Amino acid sequence: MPDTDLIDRVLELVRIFAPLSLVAFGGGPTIVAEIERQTVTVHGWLTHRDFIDIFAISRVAPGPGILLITLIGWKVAGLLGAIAASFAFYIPSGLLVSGAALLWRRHRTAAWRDKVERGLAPIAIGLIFAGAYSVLRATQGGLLAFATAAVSAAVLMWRPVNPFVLLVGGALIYAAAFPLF
Amino acid sequence: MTTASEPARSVSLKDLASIYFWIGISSFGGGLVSWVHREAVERRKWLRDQEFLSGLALSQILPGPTMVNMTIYLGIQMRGALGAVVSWSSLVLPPSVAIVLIYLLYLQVQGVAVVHFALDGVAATAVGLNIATGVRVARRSRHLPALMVAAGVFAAVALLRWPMLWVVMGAAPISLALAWRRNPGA
Repeated sequence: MPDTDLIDRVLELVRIFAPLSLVAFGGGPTIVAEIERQTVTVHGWLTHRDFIDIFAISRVAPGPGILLITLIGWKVAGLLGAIAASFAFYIPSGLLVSGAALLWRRHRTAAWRDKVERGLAPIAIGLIFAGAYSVLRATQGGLLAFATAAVSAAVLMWRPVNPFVLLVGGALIYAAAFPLF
Repeated sequence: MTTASEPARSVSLKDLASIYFWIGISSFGGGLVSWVHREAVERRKWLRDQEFLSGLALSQILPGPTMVNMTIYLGIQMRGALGAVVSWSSLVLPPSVAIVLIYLLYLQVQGVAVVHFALDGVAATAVGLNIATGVRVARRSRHLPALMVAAGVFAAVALLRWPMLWVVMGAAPISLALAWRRNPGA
């Protein structure tokens, strides 16, 4: 007998991630807030704790940061969920870029490209900050989390450090501070 | 699709698979695009700098993760549709398996409180990396109407918790119209 509950969750993952694929202007960081809203608030699939842990794991694991979606899918509906969520997100924008790659050479120097870039940038900015806000709100760290984020942003803008070194540093500082709590 | 793009330089599918496999599996914490530039443009000379930058611009304009878009774009430029499929799978599939294994490992230790604390630290630091990206983009668009659009998108998604799909579909035409009005013609 097929598990209809599982199939429902898999279909819901596709319904969430396929449209997101086509509005993720600015890449991975722009969809963090929406993923948190859908999986924690709307569907209650994840607790805030699950979300923070999965978000953090996706940042220290190798590969594109977008593998966050694969893990969300796995958490919600196992292997099938991981495959469905990932492909739902990869295929629409993948087909779009494939089509564009074939047309692009003819419009190499077109002025509209610059304007599209300028026009989409403010949306990416708003979404990236929204994602930052929703992760910080979900962490239990409170003021410490806001301070850590501010310091890590400042360091990265000041020097071209390897982001992985910063991430490991953040983990170690928190682990060291653990006995104080 | 394959016929429309001429595989100008002799790049074998095996080369693409091996490059993207290594970039995918050994890139920690992001910064993949500069690695592709070093390998494909500087070291192997598969592409000219101009071609690379043009592909990067396209990958940033289109929705979806920049690195994944870029991989598909370069794959098509160099070896057509098959090149894109080979590059994409080599980049994405091995790390996908790795991340699930890491997650299963995490499930074994998630009862230990300090693990969550360390992950809180990683999450807060990673947020900082995203903020740095946001600030970098914001610096390039220092223009009051543009920043108002950014603030509006932030408020709608973060504070009002509106669905991102509707927010982007509502804000994109306004933001694009502003970009055109600011710099008409040209």
